[in-house]
Amino acid sequence: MSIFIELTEEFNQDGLRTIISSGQAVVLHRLAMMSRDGDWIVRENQAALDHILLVLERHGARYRFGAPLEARWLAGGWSAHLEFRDPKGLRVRTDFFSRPPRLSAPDLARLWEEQEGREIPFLNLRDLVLVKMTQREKDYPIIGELSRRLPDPESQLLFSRSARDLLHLAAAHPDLTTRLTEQRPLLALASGGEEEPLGAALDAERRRLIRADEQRLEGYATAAAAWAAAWPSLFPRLSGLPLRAAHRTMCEAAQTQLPFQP
Amino acid sequence: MSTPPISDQFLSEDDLDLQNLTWDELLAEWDAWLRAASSTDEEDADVYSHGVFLREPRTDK
Repeated sequence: MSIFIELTEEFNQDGLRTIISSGQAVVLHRLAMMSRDGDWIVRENQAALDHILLVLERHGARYRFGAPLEARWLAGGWSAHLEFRDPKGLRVRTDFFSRPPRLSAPDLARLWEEQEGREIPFLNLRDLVLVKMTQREKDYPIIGELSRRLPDPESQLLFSRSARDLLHLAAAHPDLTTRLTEQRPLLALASGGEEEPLGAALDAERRRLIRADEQRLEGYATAAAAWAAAWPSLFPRLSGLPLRAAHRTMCEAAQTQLPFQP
Repeated sequence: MSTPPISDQFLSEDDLDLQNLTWDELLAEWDAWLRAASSTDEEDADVYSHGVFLREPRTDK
């Protein structure tokens, strides 16, 4: 059994509170194993977050640097990070956020609705593609394979990372390709049937996406500067405390050091 | 007989083979992968893979 599946079941006991995201969702889509960390989209209400803290406390988890697992910070897009060692010594890193990047409020509402009742809730292909549009180069091959599995040609045309795939799609669906060109301008090159300029446009698009995510994270880094400076002196005060007690200390300190909104 | 179109390959054959595993095999493989990958834990102990923080500030752990 994967520790991430076990945790998800514990987090979601008696109600859907978490959805597996990013690297572990990629595994559940049976694409690749590339991430050692588990990350979850969480309900943005304190009762759900308190349950997650209780589960993590039972595992002996401690906070890493990050925001407190509290709705006021998560609503600002912040992420919370905790870790523990399982009985066999595996370091289990757990990351939580309630506002995944690039998913709109309607996307999120639909996501929670569609995952309700699922035995193992995890991000669907389209939402996973959006979450994976990060500052890291290594996420783009994953997007390339995820896009191939999207269920309809419209989504494939909007997200494919392969010039050849796009040429085939454009040839098979010319009207749809033309209609989507406003949303994704490089599709004009797919309609034209030329692989080289399309490949160059895909590279440029990837670099733009990477830069956009870097800029997003730079905003958070700037807003967290005081919190980062305070962390080395706060961390020893949290050590040895049961997680929920550490959480209260963390919230108290963060109130003056980490703005709710970046 | 027509030739299949040339296609880009983004991931390795090993990665793509996950589709052929049973659920129990996938869980076993996943657990084994995590434990094998943990051998490099110390190299990136302060680095984050997800969320809005990139690196943990230095502390005397």
